[in-house]
This record gives sequence, structure tokens and C-alpha cells, in this order.
Amino acid sequence: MSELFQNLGIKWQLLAAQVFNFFILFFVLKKFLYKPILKFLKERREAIEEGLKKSELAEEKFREMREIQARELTKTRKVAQEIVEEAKKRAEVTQKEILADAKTQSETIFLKAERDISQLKNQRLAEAEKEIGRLAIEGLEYMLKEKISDEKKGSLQEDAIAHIKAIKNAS
Amino acid sequence: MEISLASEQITHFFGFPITNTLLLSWVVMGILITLGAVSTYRLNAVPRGLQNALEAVIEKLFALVKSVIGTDKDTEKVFPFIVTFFVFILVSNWFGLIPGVGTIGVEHGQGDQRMFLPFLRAPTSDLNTTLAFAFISVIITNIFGIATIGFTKYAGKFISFKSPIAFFVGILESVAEIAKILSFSFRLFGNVFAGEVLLVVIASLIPYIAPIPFLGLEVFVGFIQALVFSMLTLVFIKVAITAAH
Repeated sequence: MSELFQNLGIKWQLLAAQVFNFFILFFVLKKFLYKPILKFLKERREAIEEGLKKSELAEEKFREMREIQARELTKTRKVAQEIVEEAKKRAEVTQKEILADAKTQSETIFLKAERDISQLKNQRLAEAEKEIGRLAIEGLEYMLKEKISDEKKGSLQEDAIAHIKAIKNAS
Repeated sequence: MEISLASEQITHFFGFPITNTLLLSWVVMGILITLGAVSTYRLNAVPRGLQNALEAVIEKLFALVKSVIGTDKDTEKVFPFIVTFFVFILVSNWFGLIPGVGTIGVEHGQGDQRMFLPFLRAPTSDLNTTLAFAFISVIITNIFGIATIGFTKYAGKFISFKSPIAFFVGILESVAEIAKILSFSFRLFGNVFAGEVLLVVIASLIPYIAPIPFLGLEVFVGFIQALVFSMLTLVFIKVAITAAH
């Protein structure tokens, strides 16, 4: 066995030295190479991931805002339309009311005017009747003073009164 | 032309033999440590040059290890071993191919005893190195297994009295652990050593041009062997940390 080891060049000191070498290299590289680089890569990955997440979040917020904005706009438009419609409706109602009012008022005025007119007419007519009667009688009296007999005078007066009455009735 | 299976002792330090393979191991370690420390001395958010290259390599390797191991937590524990195996073996293999390594040295001894003594030799062409790596690989595999699934459960893989089949499977598993050490060490040693011998033989037969394709081949073999060693370790660790069903 020892001869085999001798031929293969195996020496326990060298074996131990190489084990030792490996562990020196292992610990040094672990401390100065793997750990710093892996930590660094992890940090960088995290930073990138965080950045991506943030941008995604911002995008989402933006989209949300846009949605809210659109929703608000639609709502506002609807409200505005409602207001306009309401105003229109109200205006129509008011218009109708005003028209009806005006109509009744005009009717009242018209009726009153008619009444006034007829009243005035009647009054004037009565006055005129009275005046005409008086004038006719005066004129007749004047005429009759010379030519017409008393007999005739009486019948003429009756005729005149009848005539005036007929005229009055006709009007 | 003499080919020595064992590495050549250059000197000794208080009785401790210092061989050409050990010397090149130190050179490789020094270069790797310097490279590692320099690259992470100042890390930039936007990587450039060396940092960029190492970041890419480490990120890819981490992803590879994670794809086998599964969880981030276990990967972080296993990853340093796998990468250290990979880079140490890879750089050792490639350093053995640099012209001058294995060819620059001194003659010593007298007459028939005269021997050529190269100053540097690929660490992985020395069985001590590969055996050391194999021991570490198998031992950490078992440690990971015990730490992850518990001692009794892990030991149950090797010693089981549940059924005769389980008992014999346990014996086979135990033998397999020893076999793993041998296969790990001799595979790596054999490939690298054979490559060196091949280059020496070709170079002595037809110098200058003929060894170049073989040199390219050895670069490839060096990479493959580093990958095989680290990937096998990775897979064995994965098997060990996965509870038997």
C-alpha cells in the first residue's frame, strides 16, 4: 500500500497542503468575490424591480385618474343636460301660464271695454234721443206756429215720437 | 524523455516537501485571489470591464447551481464550493498548458540518475491535489446531507435494517462514497496527466507545429474536466440534500 502511494506520489503533507489551499481560496473568494458580487447583483435586481413596480404603480394611478376624470365628466355632462332640460320644461310651463294669464286678462279688458262702450253708447243715445226729441219738437213748434193746425200738430207729434221710437228700436 | 507520475520535489521547508505542483497551486491561488479582490474593490452600478465579465460569469453560474439545487437559501451555501472547484480546477488545468510550465527547469543527479526537474507543473496533474479535492467534495456532500435532512435520516441511507434490500443498498451506498473519491480524483488526474504526457510525446516526435491542435484539445479537456468535477459535486450534493422517499 505504501509502495503504491509512493509510486503515485501521494504524500499526506501534500494532500493536507492542497486541502488547506482549497479552503484558503474558498474563504477568500467567498468573502471578496462571491458575496460582494451576489449582494450587489441582488441589490441591483431589487432596485430595478422596485423601479419597475413604481412605474407600474404610477401608470395605474394615471389610468385610474383618467377613469375618474372621464366618469366625472360624464356625470357633469348628464347633470348639465338635466339642468337644461329642467329649465326648458320650466320655461314651457311658465310660457303657458303667462299666455293663459294674458288671455284671461285680455278677455277681461275686452269685456270691460265692451261694457263701457255699450254703456257709453246707451248713455249717448239716451242723450241724443232726448236732444233730438227736444229739437224736433222745437222745430215743429216753430213750423206749426204758422201752417199746421192744432189737429195736425197733435198727429205729427205722435208720428215723430213713433218714428224716433222706431229708430231707437232699430239701433 | 522521462515521465514521472509523482510530482517533483523542488525543495523542502522544515521537512515539508514543496513540489512543483504545489508551487503552481500557489501561483494560481494568488492570481485568483488578486483578480477577485481587484474586481470587487469598487463595484459600479453600471458594470464595466472586469467587473462586468465576472458579474456575468457569477450570475450564470449562480443560475446554473440554482437550477439544480432549487431554493435560494441552499444555493447560497452550495454555490461558493462549486464555483471554487470550477475556477481552481479550470485555471490550474490551463496554467499547466502555458508554454514554459513543465518545460523550464533544471537537471539534477548524476549519470543514470540524472533527472529533469521542471519548476512548475499543473496542480491537477498531481494525485495529491485531485485526491484532496475529491475528499473535500465527498465530505462536504455528506455534511450538506446531514445538515439538511438530519443525521439519523441521512445515516439511514447507509445503515438500514428496514429490509434486506435496504440493508444491501446501504452497503452499496457506502461503497459508492469511497468509489466517488477514487473516481473524482483519478478522472481529473488521469485526464490532465494524460494530456500533459500526450503533449510531451507529440512535441518530442514532431516539434513546433504538431502539438498545436493537441494544445487546443487540452484547453477543451481542461474546461470539460473542471465542469465535470464541479457539476458532479453539485449533483451529488443535490442528491444528498434531497430526502429519500
